[in-house]
Amino acid sequence: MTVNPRKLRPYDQPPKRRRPLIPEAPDSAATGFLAAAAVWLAIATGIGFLAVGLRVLPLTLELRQPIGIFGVDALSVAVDAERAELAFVNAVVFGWLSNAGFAAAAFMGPRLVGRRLRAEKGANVGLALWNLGVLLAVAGIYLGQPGVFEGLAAPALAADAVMLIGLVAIAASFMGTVIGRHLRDQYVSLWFLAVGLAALVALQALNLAVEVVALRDVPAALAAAFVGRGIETLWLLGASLAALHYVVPRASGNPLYSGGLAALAWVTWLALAALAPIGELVDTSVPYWITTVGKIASVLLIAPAFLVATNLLLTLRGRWWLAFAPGSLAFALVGIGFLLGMVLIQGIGALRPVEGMVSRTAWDLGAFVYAALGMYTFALLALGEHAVPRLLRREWGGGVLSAVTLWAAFGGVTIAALSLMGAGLAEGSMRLEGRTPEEMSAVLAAYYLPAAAGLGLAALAGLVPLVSVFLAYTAARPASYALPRGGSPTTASAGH
Amino acid sequence: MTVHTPIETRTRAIPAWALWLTVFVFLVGGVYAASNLTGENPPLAIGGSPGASATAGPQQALAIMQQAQPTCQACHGDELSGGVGPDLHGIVQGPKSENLQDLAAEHPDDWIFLWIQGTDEAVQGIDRMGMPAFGDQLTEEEIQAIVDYLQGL
Repeated sequence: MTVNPRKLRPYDQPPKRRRPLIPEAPDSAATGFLAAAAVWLAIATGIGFLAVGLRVLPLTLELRQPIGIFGVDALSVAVDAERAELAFVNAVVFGWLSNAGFAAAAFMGPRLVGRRLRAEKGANVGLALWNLGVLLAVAGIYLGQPGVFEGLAAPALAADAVMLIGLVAIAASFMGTVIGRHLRDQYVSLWFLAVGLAALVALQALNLAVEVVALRDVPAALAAAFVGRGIETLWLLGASLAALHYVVPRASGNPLYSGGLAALAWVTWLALAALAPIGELVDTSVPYWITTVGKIASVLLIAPAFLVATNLLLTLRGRWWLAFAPGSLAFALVGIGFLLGMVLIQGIGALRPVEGMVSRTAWDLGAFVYAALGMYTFALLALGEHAVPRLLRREWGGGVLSAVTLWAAFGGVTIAALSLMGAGLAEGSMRLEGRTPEEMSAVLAAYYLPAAAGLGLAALAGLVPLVSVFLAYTAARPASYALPRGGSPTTASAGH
Repeated sequence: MTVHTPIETRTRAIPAWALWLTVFVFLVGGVYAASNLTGENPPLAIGGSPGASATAGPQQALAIMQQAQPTCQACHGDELSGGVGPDLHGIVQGPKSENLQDLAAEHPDDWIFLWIQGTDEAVQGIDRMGMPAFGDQLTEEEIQAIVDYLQGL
């Protein structure tokens, strides 16, 4: 019997197929993390532009609404340079870079070990919890008292707890996928990611513990400084190096130049990145030699950076022309350039005389912009450029949007970072000369203006990946890519 | 269909130059570390806290001192025991620079405060010899915290 659909009454229609709240499809976690990262990149670069803009025009906007419930007299939202800068750092590190790092783990892990991500549902729950926590943290900066929060250390107890639970789910999913497959024989990217994720869990747990036991003043500030630097050297640098080691051989089609060199780079990175955070423990209560060892480890990070750069550049032999076309390889090459510059800048900044001169100036923000929006961002954008078409199963990549992101981000970040570091040096030397604040403000404005323009350009570049992901999903032609084992069989037309 | 495509490597060996370069870099780092093991860290700067300038408690005094410390150390040396500027140890006994003798005689109790502040009439006309005036950058409580710290040296 045939049924005329026009004559069907509402209760005759077959029930609509509902999508589960937590997706289970292969690569759903990697796709989710990548989409979240793209959103956070746009938000974070926008806040960065606001933060540096507020250095040029030091305004404070405050909204206060009396509520008188839950023991709170009033709800106030304040925007000033200090809060904007803190929100910028948190949005970049925990929003953009961490989500992109998780996406790298969820994308590369299954492809390198040859099986689907374990407990993908758990990873998706982790994605939701982590981003909820980051959102709470960033919102808390504008709602709360800025003095409560210190640097990269997590902004609020609730946000930290939610983030940690999400993080454990993500890390368990990745570790469950790669462990048991003779990690020693696996590709070096997995080693970087495994250490980075384990370190992030440990550092977040330490951070939460500090808040739970309510440490105050010097111990709390020391712990926050240690956690902040540890997240940078172990997690962000680890995830970025993992991404570079994956993208360069894949995009160039060449084998990695030397597995031994990669292993040596990993061992030196692990030793130095683990020691570098203790260089932040600058206080009379900490023995001088301990801090010195940490600072020297920061300087020596140039060794693994040089080994990685050499290995990856030699991998490109015979395929140099690929680096000049817009695409993942171009991003990776710029990332390698930023990597060498970053370790030099951080090494110089760790020297005690330089640290004394530029302490509490715009140098710190400039060095952060150079590292976070330069090295880590380009390495993870390279992976994103490679992963988006494979995750969305679309013919996409390269083209105008890719070139705009590359050049706008490169130009903007370079201008902003160098201007801010220049402002830090100028401020340090003017302090020594005994200039008045008015004189210093006039000089520093000449540095902050190009810095704001640079971050504006970076904010523009930060919007493009979001547009690119949207267009890839809605407008690009479907394509087939190989899936890790366990997924539905498809034609491996474009490899991994 | 093969869906697992591990990334190949050309060689598994570590190039000799890389090994030697790494050993050399670590040796240089080790020698530098060995020659910089003694000293004392400055007090921690508890940065980013606007409350620090409101009232200066003992912990905040340390933070404030740390904030000024890099500037102080640049001229007075890492241990504040002298550099371009004079040794600050024992400053409670009186100034070590000739240009401050009159100021200390006229203001024996607060000459350090006035000198660091640098905006009071009492210090006008005195050759500052490169010493910055902090009156526009720090509150009176903050300057007093620094004075307390220096008097304890």
